[in-house]
Amino acid sequence: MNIISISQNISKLEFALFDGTCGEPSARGEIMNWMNTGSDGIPEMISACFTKSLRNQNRMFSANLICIRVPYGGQEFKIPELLSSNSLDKLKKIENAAPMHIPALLALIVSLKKYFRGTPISLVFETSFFTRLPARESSYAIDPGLSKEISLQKFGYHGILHERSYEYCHEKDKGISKTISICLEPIPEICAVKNGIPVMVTGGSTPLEGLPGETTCGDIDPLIILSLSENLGWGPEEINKTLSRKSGIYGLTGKKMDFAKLFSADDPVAKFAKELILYKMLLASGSAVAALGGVDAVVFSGRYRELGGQIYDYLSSNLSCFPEKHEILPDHLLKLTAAAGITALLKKSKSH
Amino acid sequence: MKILVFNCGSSSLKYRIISMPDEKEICSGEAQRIGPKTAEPSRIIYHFNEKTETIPVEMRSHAEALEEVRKLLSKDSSLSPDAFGHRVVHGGGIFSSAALITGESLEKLEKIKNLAPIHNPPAMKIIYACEKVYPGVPSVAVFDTAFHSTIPVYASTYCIPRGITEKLNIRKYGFHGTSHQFVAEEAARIIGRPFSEFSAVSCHLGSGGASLCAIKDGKSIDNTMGYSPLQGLVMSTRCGDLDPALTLNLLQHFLGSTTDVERLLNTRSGVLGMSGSSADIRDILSMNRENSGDMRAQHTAESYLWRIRKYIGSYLAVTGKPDALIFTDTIGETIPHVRWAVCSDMECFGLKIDVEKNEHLEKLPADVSHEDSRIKILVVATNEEIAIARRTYVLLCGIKNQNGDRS
Repeated sequence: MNIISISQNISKLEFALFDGTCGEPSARGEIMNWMNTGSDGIPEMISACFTKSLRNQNRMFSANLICIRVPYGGQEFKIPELLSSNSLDKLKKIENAAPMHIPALLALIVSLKKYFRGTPISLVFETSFFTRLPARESSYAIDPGLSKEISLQKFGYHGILHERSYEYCHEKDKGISKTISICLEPIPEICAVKNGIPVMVTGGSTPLEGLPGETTCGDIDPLIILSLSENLGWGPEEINKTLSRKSGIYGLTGKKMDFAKLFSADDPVAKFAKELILYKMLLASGSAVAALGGVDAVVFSGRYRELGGQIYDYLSSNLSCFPEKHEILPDHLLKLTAAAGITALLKKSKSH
Repeated sequence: MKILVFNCGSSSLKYRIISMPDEKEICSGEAQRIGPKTAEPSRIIYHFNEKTETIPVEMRSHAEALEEVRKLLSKDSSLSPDAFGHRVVHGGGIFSSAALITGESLEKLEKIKNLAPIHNPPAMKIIYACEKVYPGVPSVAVFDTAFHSTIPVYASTYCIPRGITEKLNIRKYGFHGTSHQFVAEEAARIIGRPFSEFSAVSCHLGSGGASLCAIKDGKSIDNTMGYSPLQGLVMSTRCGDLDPALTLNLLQHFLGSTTDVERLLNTRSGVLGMSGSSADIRDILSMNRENSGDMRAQHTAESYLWRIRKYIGSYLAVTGKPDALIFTDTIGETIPHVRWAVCSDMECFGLKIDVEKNEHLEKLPADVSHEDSRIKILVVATNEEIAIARRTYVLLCGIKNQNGDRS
C-alpha cells in the first residue's frame, strides 16, 4: 500500500511517500510558504516530486491513501478520521478557532480530492490526544461563558508524538505508566502522560503558550500584552506577529537560529538563550513530575530529539527522581501520521 | 521608635504601630470596605490595650480611611508615630530595597504606579495623605518586589525581542517578597539553619492574591508572579497564567480597550470568574465539601489546587534539595485541605505530609511534615507589618547614623 503523508504547518507543507508504515519513506519533499501561494497546484507538485524520486528507483508512483496531519481539531476530533461529508462539516464548525489552519486545510482537501480522485483521505489531529486532558489542566481561570468565539480550552500541539512516546516506553516495559514526553520541535512541548492519558502539557489554547520556541515567546504575563498595546500603540495583529515570529530564540539572540544551532553555539548571547530555555524545561519537568506523582520514563522526540542527551543530563542533575537514563523515540512525525491514518482506514473498513 | 505600618489593599487599610527594635505591637487594626457602598457597612477594627472595637464609619476613599485611623490614634498620646512604613507592591526596576519617601522617590513611584494598578495607586494615596497630615514624620516605602531583585536574569527574562524588553523595562519582578522573606527567615530559624544557607519553596496563599517563591541560599530565585501581580496562580479575582493568544483575542473582543481587558483579568477572573459564585476559595471549597453538586465550583477548586501543585513541583526542581515547603497567609495558614491536596502523592520529591498533624493544627508556627519527609512542611504565620517595620527601622537608623557621622 502506498501512503502519502502530509504535514500541515503554517510556514511549510511537508510530505512523504511510504510503502507501508514501516521503514523510511521512499520519497519526501516540502513546499515553503504554501499558504501564500494557494492550494491549487500542490497535488501536482507532490505528484511530480514522488514521480521523479521513484523514477530514479525504477518504480511507478501511485497512492492508495492520503494522510494529513492537522495541527488543530478542537473537541470535534477525538481520533483520526477518514474524510467524509460529516468530517468536512465539523471542520467548517471549527474554522474560527484555528483561522490559520482550517481554511487552508479545507482548500487543500478540495485540491487533493480533485487530483487524486477516489483516493481516501485520513485526517490525523495533533489535538486529539489532548481531548482527554483533565479539566483542571485544560481550563483557564476566566469566566467560561465570556465568549463563544474565544476558545478557552487548553490543548497541546504535539499530541501525535507524545502519544507515540508513551506507547513506545510502555511497549518496552509494561510497568511504565508515568511518562514525561519532551518533544523537541521548533516549538518544543513537554507533556506528562499517565496510563496513556495526558495529565499536564505546556502548550495552551494555541502553541504560543508554554516553552519558548525558535520564534515564539512561550509563557508571558498577560499584562505585557496590554503594555505593548498601550506603550507602543500596537494592535493585536502587530503584537501577534511579534510574539509568534520575532520572539523566542530569535527575540533573545537577534538571530534566526534553530535548536540544533543554539545548542552548539559558543557566543555568550546564544549561551544565555540556551540557559534560559533549559531552565524553562526544568520548571516544566518539575510540574510534570508533580502532575504524575513520580516518573518512570523520560522520552525525547521531534526533529531535534538527538539533543535529548544534553537536555536530560541537565534535567536529571536537578531532579533526582528522574530515571537513570532517557529514551529517544526513533519514529518521525510523517511516519506516525501515516500509521495513524492507516488505522483510521482499517477501522472504517471493519465497521462496514 | 514607634513605627506606624500601613498595608494597603484595594479596599482595605491594615495598620499597626510597632515599637522598634523590640518589635512589640502597641496597637493594630484594619479599615475595611473602603470605597463605594457594599452589602456590609464599612468599618474600622481597632485593637489597643487588649481591647478590640469595631467602629462603623463611612470611608469613601483611602484618604478618608487614614483620617479616621488618625482620629482613633490621636485619642492616646502613646500612639503618636515617629515614622511610617508603607507596603508598596511594585517597585519596578527602580527600587531594589526600601526607600525613604522624598520628592524624588515620589516622582519615581508615580512613573511606575500603573505596573500594579490595583495596588500601587491606593498605597500612594496613603503616602500622600501621611505627608499632609503628619508633616515632618519620615515615611519609608517597603517594596514587595525588593526581595526578588536576586532572581537570576535567565529566570526573569521574557522571550520577546530584547529591544522591547529594554525599552519598556519588561521582566519578571515577582511579588509578595516581604511576606516570602519573613516566613522564610522564620522557617530557617525554626529549622536552625542560617538564612544564607536555607532553601525553600514558600507558598503565600492569601484570600486575594497568592504566589509561590523559590528560595535558594536565602535568596529569591523565582516567583510565580511576573511583570505584574497578574501572572501565576489562580487567585481570587485574577486569572493567573494565560495563553498570550487568549489575551490578544480578548483585546479584539473588547475592541482594543486595554482597560476593559485589564479589568476583566484583574477583577472578574480567577476563582470568581471560574465559579461564577464567589471570589473566595474558602466558599468554593466548602460548597464542594457539602456536595452542593455545583460543577463549576468543583472545577474551580480542582484548577486552583492543581496550579499550586504544579508550581510546587517546578520550584522543588529548581531549588535542588530544599529544606522546607512553607505555607502562609489566610488560606495557607487556615485551610488544611489545601495543604493536603497540594502535598499528597509527592513522595518522589521527598515530601510527605502528616495528615493528623495537618488537620489538627493548634498554633503557629507548626511542622506538619511526616517523620519520613525529607523536606519539612511548615505552616508559618506571615507578619508583613513586622517585616516592614524592620526594614523601615534599619533604613532610618542607617540614615541617622550617616547624618551623625557627618556632623
